[in-house]
Amino acid sequence: MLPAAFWTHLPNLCHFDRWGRTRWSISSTKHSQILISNPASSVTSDIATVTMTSATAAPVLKPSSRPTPAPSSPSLWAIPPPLQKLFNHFPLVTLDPNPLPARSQVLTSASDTHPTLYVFSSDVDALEGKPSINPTCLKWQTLLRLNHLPFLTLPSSNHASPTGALPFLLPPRNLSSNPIPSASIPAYISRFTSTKPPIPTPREEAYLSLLNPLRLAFLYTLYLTPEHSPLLQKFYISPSTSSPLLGTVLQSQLSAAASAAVLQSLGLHPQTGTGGIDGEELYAEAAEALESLATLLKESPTGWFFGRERPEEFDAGLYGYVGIIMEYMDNTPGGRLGQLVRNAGEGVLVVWWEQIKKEAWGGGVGERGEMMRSEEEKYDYIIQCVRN
Amino acid sequence: MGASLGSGSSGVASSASTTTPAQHQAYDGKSNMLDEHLLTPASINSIEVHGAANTRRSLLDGIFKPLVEGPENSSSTLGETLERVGAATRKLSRFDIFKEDGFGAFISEANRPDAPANKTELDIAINVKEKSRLVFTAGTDFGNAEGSAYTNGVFRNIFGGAETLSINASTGTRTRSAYNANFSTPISGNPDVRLALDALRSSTQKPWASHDEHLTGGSLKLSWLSGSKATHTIMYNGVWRQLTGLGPKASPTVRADAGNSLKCSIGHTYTLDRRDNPMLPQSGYLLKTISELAGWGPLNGDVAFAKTELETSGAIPLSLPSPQGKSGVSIGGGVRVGLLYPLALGYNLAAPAYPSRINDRFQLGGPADVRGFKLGGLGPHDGADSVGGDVFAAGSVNVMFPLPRLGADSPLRFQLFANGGRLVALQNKVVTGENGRVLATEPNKVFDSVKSAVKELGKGLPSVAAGFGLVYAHPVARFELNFSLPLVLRRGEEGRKGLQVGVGISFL
Repeated sequence: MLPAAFWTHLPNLCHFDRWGRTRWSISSTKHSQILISNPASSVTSDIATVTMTSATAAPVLKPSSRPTPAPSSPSLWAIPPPLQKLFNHFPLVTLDPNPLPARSQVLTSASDTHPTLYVFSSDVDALEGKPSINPTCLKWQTLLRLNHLPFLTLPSSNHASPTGALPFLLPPRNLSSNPIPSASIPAYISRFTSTKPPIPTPREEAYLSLLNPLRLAFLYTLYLTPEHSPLLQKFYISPSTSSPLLGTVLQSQLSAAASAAVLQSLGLHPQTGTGGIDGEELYAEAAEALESLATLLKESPTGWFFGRERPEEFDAGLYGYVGIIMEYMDNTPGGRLGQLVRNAGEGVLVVWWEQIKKEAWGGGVGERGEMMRSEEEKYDYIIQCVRN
Repeated sequence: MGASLGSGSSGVASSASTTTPAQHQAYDGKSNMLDEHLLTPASINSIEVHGAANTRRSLLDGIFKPLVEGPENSSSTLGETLERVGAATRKLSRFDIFKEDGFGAFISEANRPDAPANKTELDIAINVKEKSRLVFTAGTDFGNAEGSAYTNGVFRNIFGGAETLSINASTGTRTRSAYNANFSTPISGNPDVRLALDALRSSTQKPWASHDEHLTGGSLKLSWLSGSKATHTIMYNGVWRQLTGLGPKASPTVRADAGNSLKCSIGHTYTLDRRDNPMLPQSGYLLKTISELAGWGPLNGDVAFAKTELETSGAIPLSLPSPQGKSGVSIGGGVRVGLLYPLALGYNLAAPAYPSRINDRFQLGGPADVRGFKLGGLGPHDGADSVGGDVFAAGSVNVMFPLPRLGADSPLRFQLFANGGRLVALQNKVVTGENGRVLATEPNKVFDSVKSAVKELGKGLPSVAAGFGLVYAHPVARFELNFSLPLVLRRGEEGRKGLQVGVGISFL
């Protein structure tokens, strides 16, 4: 059912490196053309032509910055026809574009052809496609992987995001420059997997609120307990800056934001300070929530929440927390959350965690490139859909 | 030049004016009499400074004590003595704490009983008027391609040693907000050597690359005059940059560079300005070099590079047969080149280096830069974003004509110009996985890529635009209204066809 989209360049011009990112071995002066047929129309004249100059080149298809005036009502600012005629002769010579800077090429060259998920991560982990260390990022990263949609990850910060929060998905460079915020990722997934966008039932929404106690306990553990300060440093500070001074500023900003979020959720005044937060109470509530989730999971015949055939958004959302907890906060000093997950429902959550990990990240993260190669057909389809 | 030194308005009989030689020739009648005495031996008996109530004694001592106690004082002529007093007074005026028109020097013969008979002993009284110590101003300002409104508070001569604290807040067309505090002090009583401590917080829009940049930082600067036209500045600079507020259509390159970085650098700036008029040069030349070393050795921070920039421009007047003598026609030209060389952070020069970020790279193009291009119109573009380059060269030639009926003395000119340039980014694609430094490049490969980028500058035609327009040189800024057309472009580069307005203080 996939429409015939084809790449006119020879396959050997393009190879995948060890991170699974496409590399073009053609020189920047050569042009290759991708022809993508439009599935909505059967007439041949509707073939969209994208000229690609190389992975390094600036996009050629640029919207004209000078709007052409409507012929019926010449505005005051319209360019008089003789002048327009003169303008049309210039520039006299147009040369090949300047290649992009090295950093941009290393970080974004593959985004010529692949959508990129901007996540909290370190340089190395992101380039290898490893799981993010931020619960929300990990949730969407896992969901995309569960749906076998190819994408790249790039280490980033909230400053890069259109909504002010990570993650977000940026379509391939030549197709669209409109970022897709995380809230629209389910729609994106349903579009490319030909499934209906999931509409959460009232029951699912009610259970969604169980994630909040877990979130508060997680925030408290990572940002506000001194034992986890090195972890916080590793997760958020080191990827952002190597300067101890700036790191201290950023860390205090993060901790302040986390304590404000916890206090707000507890209905306390933001000025109360961290002293007003009772860690024991947070852990008790998290344990209760995990227990309820485990009970819910036990009811399911499939092993996934709400008896779904495959793990879906709710599973991914819980995995966002549990994945990081089990990886970094289990059997560590002060890492009580791991024990809470292990205790919940006599270990049923641990079994679920191992299952979803295998499902989304099984086969190892290093094999992301393999996945993409096999998914190339689906990938062409994505390009096409984004274009339309 | 320094303050005009007159003899003052008082009718003291023995008062003598300390004039510059040029002025000296003009007052024929008076100076003839003076000339006879200029060669007579004279020494200074005392110097009194009046009106410097808030100025520290030690600052004045530093300038005037050598006149009285120095070895030259015992064996000099009246002319030499007066010249030395004049030089000292001009030095005093460079502290910028006294009113320029408030200087007056009164010279009288000392009546000491034990005075030697063979030479004149002088008592010198110097009158000064201090500038107000606290000044608040508000107004509008023109920088390069930007207009702004500001409020400024200057606390002059705070500790009596010509120290200045200046606090400035401004908002402008591109700068959303900027707060700046600057404390500067002369070093060992010398007005030509100043140390300045500067703190800055600003938020600037960079529409050519779809983002805002927030800066928080400080710098320590030492500047000194070398000769009368050349200035040296060395500085240490630490600034936290935040690339944020991205536009909805920001390119992947800009998104990848969004976030925090700390730049710690040392730098040197040299300026030699021999132009007759900086806003509308008709003759003379300007030479400026800027060098910066960031992140290397103890500097640290998040970015490491060596960056250097050279700017030179000049003009020669054309003497055409004209009734007034001065034709007002001139040919001018300018060249700017720059290079950014990525380095490794820390001490190990053999360690892999990081490629440059968008806020460190050069931008080229704009109405006050390479005309006929949009701001940042030259160089590599990712979509609509100008992402900058590591190596650039730009040049311009222009011919200025005075407008008919206004003549050569008016600040208006008609200009013909052609300018162009290249802005190229380094292409070190090689990625090493050592120590988790995924983005870093081996030093020898960095060198190769710099070499090939410099070579690339000369390959093919530069991107060029030409046009004509009007230039108006206001003492505060120069205004240009040009009509231009791009002749040679690279795809992605943004030329501007038609009219373009340029406002700025320095033009290519």
